[in-house]
Amino acid sequence: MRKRKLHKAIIKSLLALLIIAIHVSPFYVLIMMSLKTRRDFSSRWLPPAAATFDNYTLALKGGDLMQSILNTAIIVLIATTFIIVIGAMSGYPLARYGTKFSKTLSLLLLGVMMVPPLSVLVPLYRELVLINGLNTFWGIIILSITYGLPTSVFMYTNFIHTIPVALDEAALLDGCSKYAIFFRIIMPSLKPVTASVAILTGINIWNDYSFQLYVLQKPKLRTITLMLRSFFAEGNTNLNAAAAASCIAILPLIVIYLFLSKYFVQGVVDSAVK
Amino acid sequence: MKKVLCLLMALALALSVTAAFADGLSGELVIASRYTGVQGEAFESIIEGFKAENPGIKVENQTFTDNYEDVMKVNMSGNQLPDVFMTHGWSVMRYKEYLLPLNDEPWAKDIVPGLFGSIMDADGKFYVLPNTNAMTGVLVQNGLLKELGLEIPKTVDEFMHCCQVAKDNGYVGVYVAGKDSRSPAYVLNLMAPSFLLNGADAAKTGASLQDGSFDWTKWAAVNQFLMDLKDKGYMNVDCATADTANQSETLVAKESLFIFQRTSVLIEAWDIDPEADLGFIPMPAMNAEEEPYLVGGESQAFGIWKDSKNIEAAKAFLAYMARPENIKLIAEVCGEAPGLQGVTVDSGNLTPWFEAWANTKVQPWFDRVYLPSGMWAIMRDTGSGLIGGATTIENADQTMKDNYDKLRAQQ
Amino acid sequence: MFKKKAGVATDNQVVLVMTAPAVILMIVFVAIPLVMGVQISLTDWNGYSQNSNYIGLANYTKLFSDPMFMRAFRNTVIYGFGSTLFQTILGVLYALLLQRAFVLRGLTRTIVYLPAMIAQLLVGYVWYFMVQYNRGALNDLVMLLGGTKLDWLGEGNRAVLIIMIINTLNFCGKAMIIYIAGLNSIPDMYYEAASVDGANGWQQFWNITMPQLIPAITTSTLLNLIGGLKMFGLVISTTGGGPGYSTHSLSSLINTLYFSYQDAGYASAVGVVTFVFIMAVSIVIRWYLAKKEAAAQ
Repeated sequence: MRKRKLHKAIIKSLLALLIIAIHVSPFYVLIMMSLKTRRDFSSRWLPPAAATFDNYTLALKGGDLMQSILNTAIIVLIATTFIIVIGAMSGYPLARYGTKFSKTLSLLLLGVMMVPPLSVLVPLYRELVLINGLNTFWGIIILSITYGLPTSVFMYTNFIHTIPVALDEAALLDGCSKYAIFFRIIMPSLKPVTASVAILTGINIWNDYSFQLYVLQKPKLRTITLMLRSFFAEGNTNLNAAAAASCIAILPLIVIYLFLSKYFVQGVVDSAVK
Repeated sequence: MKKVLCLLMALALALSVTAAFADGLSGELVIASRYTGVQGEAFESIIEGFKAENPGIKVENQTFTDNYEDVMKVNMSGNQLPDVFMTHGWSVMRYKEYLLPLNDEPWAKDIVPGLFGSIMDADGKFYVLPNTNAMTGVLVQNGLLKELGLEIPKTVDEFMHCCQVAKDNGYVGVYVAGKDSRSPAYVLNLMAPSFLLNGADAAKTGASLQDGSFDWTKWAAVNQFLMDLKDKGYMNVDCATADTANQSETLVAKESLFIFQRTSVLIEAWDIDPEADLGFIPMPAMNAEEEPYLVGGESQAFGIWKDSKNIEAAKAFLAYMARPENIKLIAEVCGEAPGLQGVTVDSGNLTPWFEAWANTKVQPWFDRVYLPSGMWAIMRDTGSGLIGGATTIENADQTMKDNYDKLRAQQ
Repeated sequence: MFKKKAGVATDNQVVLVMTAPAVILMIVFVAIPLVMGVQISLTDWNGYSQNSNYIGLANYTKLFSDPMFMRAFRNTVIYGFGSTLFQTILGVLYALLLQRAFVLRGLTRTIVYLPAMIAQLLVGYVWYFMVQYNRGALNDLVMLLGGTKLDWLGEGNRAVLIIMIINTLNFCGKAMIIYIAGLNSIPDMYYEAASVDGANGWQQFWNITMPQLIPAITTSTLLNLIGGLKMFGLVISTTGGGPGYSTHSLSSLINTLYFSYQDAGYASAVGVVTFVFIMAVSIVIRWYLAKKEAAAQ
């Protein structure tokens, strides 16, 4: 019996190693590339004969990459804050009051969650030109809020469903208004799901490419995805520097994950449609 | 007496004010370009020099990279453009609606005559200061050409022979980075004059392209050339998926013989290996009776937004940029020939090639002169469709014809 | 029944007031653009000129005979539903392996999940280094094993499949986590009871695990579907839509039509159709889930 258990553990470990190898290999290749010179045409699997950090120096040169990380952080922070506040506010009535309007709204919001934002690219662009929102942080922030909101509303609605209605009713009898119920009863209990909403929508905005590509065109406003694209784009043919820039861009995510992994996992579970 | 003094003083004041306006221009210029790296630094230094001479003018230097065209399209749709901006070959076809004619500028008389074909519209107006004349042909790995014992090909047949020899020796004849659909389109656009504008009918065919009576069955030869390169195995296996970033690499690594691209790819390659034996050669002609040619035209050109509030300052900036030392600087960092006469340029590794082809005939970029605006996209579409196996020559010809008719009707 | 106090909000009022900010944003940045999109789709606007002509429904009639659109439509369905299917299979398998503790569990989970946080665009570039023909890491392996190099992305259908696989491998971490949570919520006593009844591992899987996982499956299906239908960055960075136009998703096609083809009118028409189609899919899915929920209660 014990032998069988051992066998099982070995098979499991081998499988795990295989899975790790498959998932790690592209990133291993990326790191190797970032450590090689442009003239090093050796196989990407092989480590460089002598590792060079020149690519990293080049990627960081001029501070544009760091500036783009900072830009992204600002956008993510502000947009996520609004997404949380507006999302929680909307989630409450949608979970509690089954009016025709709230049902229709839930349905439409779910639709917006699935529609690719690029489908309204052309007119959205025109609209932004009209309201002078191009090349501004507020322009990208307001779009990020709008298209991040459905996920947030959705998760809050789901979560508020799980808070016993009995609490609301008790508060109503005590003379609480329906608005006050939200602030006194619902809000304080939203903490766990808020962490999930923040992480999920925050990561989405951090990784967004489509909106940022169109709204933020001036080099000074560039976000991290746009910066990476310019490293890979035509005219910039130094792929090794691009690889180094990618590694730098991935690093903050890994650090954040290692500190907050519990919330990340919870976030994915909370985003579940019930 | 007092009155006279007052009058005199007022006059003096008025004079000094007008003088101040005449001498020191003021205003705030927004200048947009797509320079990065070395080119960006060179352009910045020109702007700094201009600011030093004109302390009254503030300049905002907006530099973009690969998204420059998209940015400009947005700016155009909002009718909000920079005061001075780069037109990168499209001053007439795309930007004319928004540009100020510059025929009367002091530097206008110095423009290299060969450039008028690409910067002048039907009314004889032009809208840009053409800093450079972008001449290109077929980029060649010259070291490899010599190693294979080959001569510089002058005709399409000789060109094909070179490719065959390269292939037989395990090299790529023509490298195409088709992940970017511009790459196959370059082949079509650069070779079109060879197949269409030849013999006694050259001028007639050109005119028929412009007036809409062109017989599109003739276009099959151009598409056929692209397909021959592919079908005979002269292209790289990954011609439909290779990234443009690999173009300079494949030249340096001595893997490929030819690339249909701009000379800037050579500059990138020399950035990897300054010793690499590379160059460019004229486009092969249809047959021995015809002359090989280079393709050239507007490249690093700047125009002025017609509704700019700082037109005088913008003109002053162009005049400053038109000075020989500045033209020379831009031409050198971009690896292109100067666009104004009387400027000598040290093009580094490219110099011997510019000298070798000094007397070669220059054709304008085919699509910019002979096809309606929007056809470049169709060439990209059909070219990448052909090498990707998504379409046939017949279909590609038909697509070209249909869109040519449609786009002409829109004009 | 006591008289309703003045000032007490009705349900409808509460809904209207509290959802107002969200509704306003949706109207301004989703509904209005959609209406404008319909307008633009009726013109031949090139995307930058001040002029355009009204051309009626021409863009829409062109749509369904345009091989480019049909291809992008088909691809989007493959990216959406195909990735979802494979992510579900892989997610369940990984979850079964990684639910219970063993030496490498924590590490494997982290490594599978981490890439799911990286931007699609970057994931595409990273994988491009793997599947590239020349100097691509995968071809190096193939040659090491004595095979001949293959231009992996060189054939349209294969490229679509590869993009789908990249999407699956890279983002299956999310599905895995949902399934691990699902597995954890199945009470052990179910299995104990089954063991007592003499059910083997396979029977237990089909009769206990799978039925209990159904809620988690619907959940992750929807999540993955959203990612797949929105596919954009990954296509741009792996193939740019090529060879030809064979790997375009609807999103990347719209982008190309607008900027490269200077056909903003047509791009808008594709956008409107995309919007309506995916909205309809989502409403059907929602309706189906709601029905099931009602049946479960």
